Amino acid sequence: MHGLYYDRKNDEMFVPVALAGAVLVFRGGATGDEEPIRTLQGPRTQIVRPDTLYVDVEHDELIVDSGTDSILIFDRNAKGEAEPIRVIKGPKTGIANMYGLTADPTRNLIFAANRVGEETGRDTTDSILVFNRTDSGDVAPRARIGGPRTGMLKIRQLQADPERGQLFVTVKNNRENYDPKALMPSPWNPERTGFIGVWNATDDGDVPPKAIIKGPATGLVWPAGVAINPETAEVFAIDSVSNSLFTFSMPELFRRPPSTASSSGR
Amino acid sequence: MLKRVLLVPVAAVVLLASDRSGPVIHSEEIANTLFGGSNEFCLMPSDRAVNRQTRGGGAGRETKGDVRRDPGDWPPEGVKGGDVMPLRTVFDPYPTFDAVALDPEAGRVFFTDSSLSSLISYSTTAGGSSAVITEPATRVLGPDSGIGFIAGAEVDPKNKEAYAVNNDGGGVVVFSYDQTGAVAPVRQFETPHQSWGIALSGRRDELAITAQQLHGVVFYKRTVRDMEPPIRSLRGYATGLADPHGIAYHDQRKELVIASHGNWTELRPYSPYDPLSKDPPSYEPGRFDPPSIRVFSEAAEGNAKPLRSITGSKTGLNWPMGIQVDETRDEILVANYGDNSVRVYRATADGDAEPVRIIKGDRTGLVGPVDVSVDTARNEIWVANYADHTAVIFERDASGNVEPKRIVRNGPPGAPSLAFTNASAAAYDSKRDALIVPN
Repeated sequence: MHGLYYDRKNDEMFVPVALAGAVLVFRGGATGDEEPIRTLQGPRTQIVRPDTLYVDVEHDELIVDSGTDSILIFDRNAKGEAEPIRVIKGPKTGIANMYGLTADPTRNLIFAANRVGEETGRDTTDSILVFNRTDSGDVAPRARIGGPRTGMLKIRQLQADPERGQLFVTVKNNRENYDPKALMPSPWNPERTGFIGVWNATDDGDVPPKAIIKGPATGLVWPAGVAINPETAEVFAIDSVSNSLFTFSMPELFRRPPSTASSSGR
Repeated sequence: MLKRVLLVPVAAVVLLASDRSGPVIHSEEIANTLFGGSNEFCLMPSDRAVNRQTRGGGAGRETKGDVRRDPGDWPPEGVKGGDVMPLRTVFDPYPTFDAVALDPEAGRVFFTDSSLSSLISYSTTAGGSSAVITEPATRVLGPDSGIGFIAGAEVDPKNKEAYAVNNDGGGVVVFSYDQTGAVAPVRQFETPHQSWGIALSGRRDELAITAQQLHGVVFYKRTVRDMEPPIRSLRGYATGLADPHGIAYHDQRKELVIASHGNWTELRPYSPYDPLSKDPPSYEPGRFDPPSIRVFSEAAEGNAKPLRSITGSKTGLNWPMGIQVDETRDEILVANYGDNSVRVYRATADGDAEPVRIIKGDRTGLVGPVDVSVDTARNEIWVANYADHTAVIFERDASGNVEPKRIVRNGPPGAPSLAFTNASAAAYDSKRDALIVPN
């Protein structure tokens, strides 16, 4: 499984199961061999290989990566073979090979992380596509964060911080090329390590991150998961190569600007 | 942590000594190699090759199309954060066994280690009742080894070679029995994304490898290397294979035995090596099937039906991982991760069959069993534990809540096993002040 969302308001865990084309919902305190309280699966759902998802508790919606280059929006309580209430899909959307998905309900934004390369013939750089929350159909993103100055290569999980209007992004920072002689990532290979980057939710274009966590002292090789606890100003990172969980204290990222909650300037 | 700190200078030396120069193979070349011509595995039209998505895999080398930047220019000045020390780190400094393969004649047993990315071997006489960490005979590790997120293992007793399967890209790496340290494999070959189990038929001189997201098996000549394509594949609705893991040949019966978790969805190619899903012809939605062990003719290919299927509530199958055939006893053994047991079935079992015996209980030391192997020379069963820093060894006919004869330890007793590898997401549970990590 490559995604997870914890819904504090309803104390539920949402899990996308890529290998079974399903979304499972568990009690927040679920443990052991416990059955899900809801299962969303079947052809009418349009869910095929979901990698990532987000729960918008403010609007009671569940936002799911279909695994087929589309964003599916369901009622939060959807189960069985429920149909999505909106679908963002089509060539104008630019969605290709999605690996991360999150939303900012305060600003009514949905963020989708594309991971694409020359092989797809559709794009040349990884990027974060920004849609309006109520978008539907074949719509162009309202913004796209991507380009050489972003440093993005192989994005994974996204985590929004709506209160401060910022976006935490895991970037694995390598490119596979199926060269049988190439170095494998391993805990002992510091070549081209990844990072966690922080952008403003309102950023657009080839914008460098406003903050990063990167370097040998961090211990990060291929950060693939990120979570935050604004109350303690902590950033949590899962590394998929060293199989480690790191906690960083980053108080400078969790101060609220005195005048506004959403600043795009630096 | 001390070991980890010590590994940093070791890594620097290893990297400086590495010579990784070699031609980069691009997707078009791969597609031509794999999917052109009359290859039966060719499910992908050659004209679509350039539009393939690249996911998984592992190299770190720049290729055409990379975002190029001068490290001195990035990140720009004024960016907050940087090279900050973590406040806390959760890290398992000990290996995690993910598969076991045993050569009775040579007296060697090999384990893949998915936590620290290594291949570890012991003498088949290793282990005991001591609390001391068992000294391995060899340990292969480091970037030159090609070992990444490692899964299944197999041995070739005739050629004295050990195989290790990378699950998330990187294919299969092959080492001679006595290689140890930061060494390169004697050969390497690419396999589909999410390859897990591996079995060698010495008589057929071929390898069979399960691939989770392919819901099938790919077969190779034993001598395969680099980007050579499979010689045939076994996949499709009729096979009943869904998220397959363990695989073993039954040479006497000329059969192939495969354990499936039961998760099924449409194939999505992750890499230039994965075929497009041309069969089945129509979309089939995702589903959860019961776990199963399916038995095929060893020569099965395409969308072949199994000869027999062990599945149903009486089987007790729950997340079946690695399997082994004991040909002398005509039995199938499976590491049943879901209920911490090893279940043994008759090789001829079919349908909702009960196991002939079960090793299970608090005295067994089974904690997240992930693979099993039989030592026919010493009449023992070896079981790799994923959720504990041990492998446990039983009598070959062990049954019930029995204590292991010996324990091989890769960490001190009581050292917690993180039991997550290749984790790719995290969530903060603010209600319980807990972090949730899906595996």
